[in-house]
Formats: sequence, structure tokens, C-alpha cells
Amino acid sequence: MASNLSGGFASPSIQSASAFRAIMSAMSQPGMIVKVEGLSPPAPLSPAAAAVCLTLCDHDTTLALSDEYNSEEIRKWLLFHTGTRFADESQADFIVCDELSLKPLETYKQGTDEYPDRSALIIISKSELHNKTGCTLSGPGIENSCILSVSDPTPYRSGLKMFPLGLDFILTSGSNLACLPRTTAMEVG
Amino acid sequence: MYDRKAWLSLMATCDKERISSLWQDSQINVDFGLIRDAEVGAVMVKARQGSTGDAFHFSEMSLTRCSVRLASGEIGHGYHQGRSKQAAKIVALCDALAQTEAYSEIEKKIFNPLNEARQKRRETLRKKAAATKVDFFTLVRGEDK
Repeated sequence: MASNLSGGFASPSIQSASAFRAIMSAMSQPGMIVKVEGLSPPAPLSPAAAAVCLTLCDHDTTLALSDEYNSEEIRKWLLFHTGTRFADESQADFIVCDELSLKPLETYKQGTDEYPDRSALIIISKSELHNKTGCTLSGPGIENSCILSVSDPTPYRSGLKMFPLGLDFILTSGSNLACLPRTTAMEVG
Repeated sequence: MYDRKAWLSLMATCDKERISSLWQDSQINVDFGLIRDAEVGAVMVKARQGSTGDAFHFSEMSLTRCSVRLASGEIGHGYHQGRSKQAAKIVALCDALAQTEAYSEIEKKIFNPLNEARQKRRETLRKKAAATKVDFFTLVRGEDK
């Protein structure tokens, strides 16, 4: 057995609680970048993406990994630390993928009229994440407007069903993450 | 010879003092790192009436788990009933060691004594239960004749 399962939270209850707090803050203030540290997951999974998985996934949820993350090592690592079940990306509650491997949004679960919350959360890895240039975000949780380093809003906004259905995104880069919930409006420039 | 399932099952339900003292007496020294430090949780025990009915939730019980990796790379998972973190760690170490060439030593010093204790415990339980067995029978009352 050559797999390496180390690199999880050293004190799971405290670290996952603070990671949860960070994710919740980021989700309620879209575009705000927060740092979550303390993990060293197997490459190419980023520490922030791993923190979201370890904090939110468990045996009651399902997770889909896109091709570049779908390695034996990453699956074993996530399974050991979360006990989650793996599913097809059209069925999964959580999706881990790259910015470039994001499929047309119709592929993913967007909730039903009775239960709009039964939609997927997409955890996207990006090469960089900053508030200097990119799309202008506005909407609930943003005082006036905010800039996030997403060059093109189309992959995140075309193919979304009408509110309250839709998809929420967590963008990660290294140990940083920012959220793009379905309520946030994105404009170029 | 035990397989992995058998030795994990054996150690999961063993007495915590017994496995601690066996481990101490075995004088095994091993270099290891913790992947998941011992933590106490609860599991749902499922049961079947008469071993044949539908499974139902019987009760929750406390359980301690721990995972270790030996310097040689083997990963051991320990699950032990109750709240003893030390016992869970020993179970994990034994599980890892039993995957190495140290198996026969672990079998001799840990598994066999625990297995004997389990047999004895079961035997005692069986005898106690047998002593309370009541055979119901109905006398023929003869009204139908």
C-alpha cells in the first residue's frame, strides 16, 4: 500500500470549524477572498479546495471529481478524510474541477422548484485569485460593487436556470478562496 | 491465520485493559506517525431479530478510531468499542504491523490471547443463557376428543 493519507486537519474539530466559518463568510460576502490553511492534500488538489471538501462533504453527500483530479490517490485521500460517496457529475452535490474543465452548466444539478437547495456546489481551481482586475460583481452581500479576477462571466452564468434554481461556485487558488453564489450579478470590466 | 477483517473484528470488541497489557508485554517497538489521531465518536449498531428479520437500528454506541502509518509505509486503521484512545491506537498499530513480516509475532502475542479470551467470554455467555432456557410445552387437554 503506497498511498499517502497524511496531510489532513491536525485537530479536525477546531480547524474544520474555522474553515467552515471562513467559507460561510466568503459565501455571504461574494468576491471577498479568504484564506484557509492547515492542509497538504495530494497534488493537484489545492489546499483551499481540499478544505472545502473536508469541511462540507461527508457520508450523506456526493462528490464528483473532474478528470484531472480523478486519481486513485485523491479519491482515497478524500474518502479517508470525509467518508463521502463519489457520483457522476450530473448527480453530485459537490463538484471539484478546473476553471478550464468546467462543463456547460446544464450538466450539473441545479435544484428543483420545490427544493432549489438540491443543487450542486462547484469548487473551481484557478491559477490566480485577486481583487485587482476582472469582472465587477454586485448583488446581495456586496455593498456597492467588487472586482474579482474572473475574465469572462459566461462559463459561470450561461446555462443557469431561473432563480431560485442555479449553481453556486467557490473559486480557489492555493490557500485562497472566494465565492460566487447564484445571486451575484457579474459584469465584464 | 487471521485475515484482516478477522483481526480487526477481534480487536474491535476486545477488552481495553487486556489489549494494553498484551501490547506492553509484547515489547514491540515500532516507528510510526499518526495520520488521524485517536478520536471518539458514535456509531449506529444495526441488528436483526433472530438474525433473519429486517435490519433495524438497535442503539448507538461509542467508538474510538485512529489511523497510523509505519515508517515502512503500511497504514493501519484502528477501531475499538468504547472511549479508550490508547486502545484504538494499539489496534491501529497491530493492524499495520500485521500487514508486515511481523505478522506471526503479532498473531502469537496479541491475536491468539485475544481470541482465547473471546471464546471464553462467548462460552460463559452461552452457558448463562442456557441456564435460563425454558421449554414451553402444552399438555394435551383432550377437549376435542
